[in-house]
Amino acid sequence: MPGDTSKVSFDQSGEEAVVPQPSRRKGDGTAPILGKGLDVGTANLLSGVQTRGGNPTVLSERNMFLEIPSEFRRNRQMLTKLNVPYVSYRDRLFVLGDSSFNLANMFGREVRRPMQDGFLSPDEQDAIPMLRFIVERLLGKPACPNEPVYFSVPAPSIDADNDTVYHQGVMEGLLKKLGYTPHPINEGHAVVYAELAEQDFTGIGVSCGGGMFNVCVAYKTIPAVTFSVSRGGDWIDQHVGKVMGIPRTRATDIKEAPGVNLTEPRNREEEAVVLYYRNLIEYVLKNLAQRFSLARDVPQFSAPIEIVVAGGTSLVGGFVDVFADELRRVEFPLKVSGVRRADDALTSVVRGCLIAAALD
Amino acid sequence: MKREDRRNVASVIEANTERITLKELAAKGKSHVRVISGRKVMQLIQAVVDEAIAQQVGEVTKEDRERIVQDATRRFQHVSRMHAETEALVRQQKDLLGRQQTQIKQLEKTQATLGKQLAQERRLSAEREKTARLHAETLEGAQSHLRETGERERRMTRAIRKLDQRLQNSRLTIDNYDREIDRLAGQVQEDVTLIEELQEHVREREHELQRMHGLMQALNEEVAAARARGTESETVSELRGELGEMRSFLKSLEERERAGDTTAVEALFERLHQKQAATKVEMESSFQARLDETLDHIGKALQAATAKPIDRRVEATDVVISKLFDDETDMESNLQSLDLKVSTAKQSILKSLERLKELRGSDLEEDPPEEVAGT
Ligand SMILES: Nc1ncnc2c1ncn2[C@@H]1O[C@H](COP(=O)(O)OP(=O)(O)O)[C@@H](O)[C@H]1O
Repeated sequence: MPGDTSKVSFDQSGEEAVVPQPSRRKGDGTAPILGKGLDVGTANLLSGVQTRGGNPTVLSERNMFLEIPSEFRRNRQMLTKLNVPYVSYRDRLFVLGDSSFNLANMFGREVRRPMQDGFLSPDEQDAIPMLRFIVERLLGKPACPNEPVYFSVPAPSIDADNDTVYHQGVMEGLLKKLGYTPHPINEGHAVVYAELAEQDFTGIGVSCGGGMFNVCVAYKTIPAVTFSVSRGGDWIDQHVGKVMGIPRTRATDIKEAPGVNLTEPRNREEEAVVLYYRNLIEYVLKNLAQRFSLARDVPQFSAPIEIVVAGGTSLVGGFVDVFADELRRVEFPLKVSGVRRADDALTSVVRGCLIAAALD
Repeated sequence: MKREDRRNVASVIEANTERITLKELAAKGKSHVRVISGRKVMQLIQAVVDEAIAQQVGEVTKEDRERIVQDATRRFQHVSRMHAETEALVRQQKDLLGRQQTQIKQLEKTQATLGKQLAQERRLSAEREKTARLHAETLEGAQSHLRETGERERRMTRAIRKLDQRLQNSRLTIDNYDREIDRLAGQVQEDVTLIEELQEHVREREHELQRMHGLMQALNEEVAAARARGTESETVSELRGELGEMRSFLKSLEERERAGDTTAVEALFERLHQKQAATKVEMESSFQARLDETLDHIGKALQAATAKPIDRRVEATDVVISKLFDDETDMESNLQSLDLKVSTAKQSILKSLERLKELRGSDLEEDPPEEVAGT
């Protein structure tokens, strides 16, 4: 079985990026930091707090819910016993998060998702209340009145007619009502904050989620180009399912199975997974190249920059190799020193949010 | 007859008869038997001889008779011996026959066994034949199975090829989609330029309308001055001329107007034309009202054209959110009493935080990075 690479460096003989080493001047890092981070993803919601010293504590929940048929309303105590979070609301009973996935078959109902392709789902009537319940569960009560929460928002999609204003407005409204002071932070930018300290926050952060890919090109902490594409892990599942004639959930299982490596597919299903992964990465890179050449006021990078990928979709084996491979194929306007996957790819965004909160 | 002859006859009889017990006779089913003694037999022979002699030669001598008796005895003995030999022969034959019969029986037995064996053989061979047939059939089956498998494989290969084709196609579709997006992006860019042009145009128009307003004011003042000087009618005709000019100016303005709603301006012309004779003050106020109305109209139209429907949606959303938090009476949950998936991030945020603070304190004197939307 081929090994998984988490970093690919490009040979830039003589053009090594000068990476300033951060000097540790002040702060022993043990002081409790006020403020929370919230990664609002299509597939998963994560909240983070920085406790005394050490690494942040992260709470997570799948961004999905299930409506339980009304005849089971009386079984609420049983749900509690089974450690299944529920909300009974306006004479309807909902189960939240992971558990809804497990209970869906039992009740013969489909799980529903408050978000789609990175944004609040326009077709989901119960999206806002469900999102509220999940967020409330993850954040708990504010540590002090109007505690700041930095929450991730996607950049506008280049390929979908979604609206950041509406999405952001709803999230802000919910967080305010929960007693927090909400601050949006671009999802790709959060990755830059979390992963590019050694490069002085100069480089490209790519958040590879379930509903979308978010890209942020940053120059010395400042985002120069940000955009998103409304394709992600779900898009891969959907197309693999369609082309192989299998249900989407089965495609997800194939994709997430241990041992899958994009550089060495073992069967036709995995070949389909590779095909769509490649397609998606190529799509993102082409758009990034185009964006960069179109954008005005883009900074001139003197040295080659690094690309950091994060998010669940980047976890598949061989992702970094394929990303680097596709990068070599497109005409890319920037010199890239290497591609690397964040060490803790699933918490990158929430850590970035937390950094922004701590900086406040 | 001599004693010796008599003994001979007795021994002949002895030799030619069998001794049988009464029981055996009874067993043979004989209930009555005739019994003749040996002596009686001798007497019978004597009598026979005497009779024969008397018939043939009459009175014979004692010697002759002796000789004849001897001769007869000899012949009798000879016959008896022959008889005994024949009897023995018969016995031998009987023995032989008995032996042959047992042999035959044995042979029959053997034959029966052989018959059985033969039947069994036949059965076996029938079975073997059946098996062979089965084998043949199975072979045929296997062959057709092979043929089918081959066919299936070919079908699968075809299906796979089709799938491949489909994959290619979807890649193509995706490419097309990309191109379409590029095209749409181009269109959007065009639209943006158009809107910008439109805005520019509206600004121009607004400017010109303002100028006109100034002009009208000046005219008014002139009219007032003329009135004061008592030269009203001349001034009115002059004014008419100037208004005519203004009208043609407004017409040219109208021609330049492309996207905006021009009916209001047209109505304004109409109104101006009709109200030429009306008092200047009236005219002015009416013009002002129209002007305001028009400007307002244009402003609204522009707003409607460029406003995001989202603004309205966000407003509605605020209501939804408020409601969501306001009536919590019929809400019940176990969210606060259940455990959550808690983990510790494998990476610290402190390094980033320190570096950011440093950067903010030194080389970046500006505000902390503001979120900028996509360029
Ligand atoms: N090991 C894995 N290999 C491939 N894909 C994975 C793996 N684990 C999770 N994913 C995919 O990652 C996506 C969810 O990632 P996440 O970062 O939580 O997304 P989001 O930010 O949209 O909530 C899903 O599409 C899921 O299928």
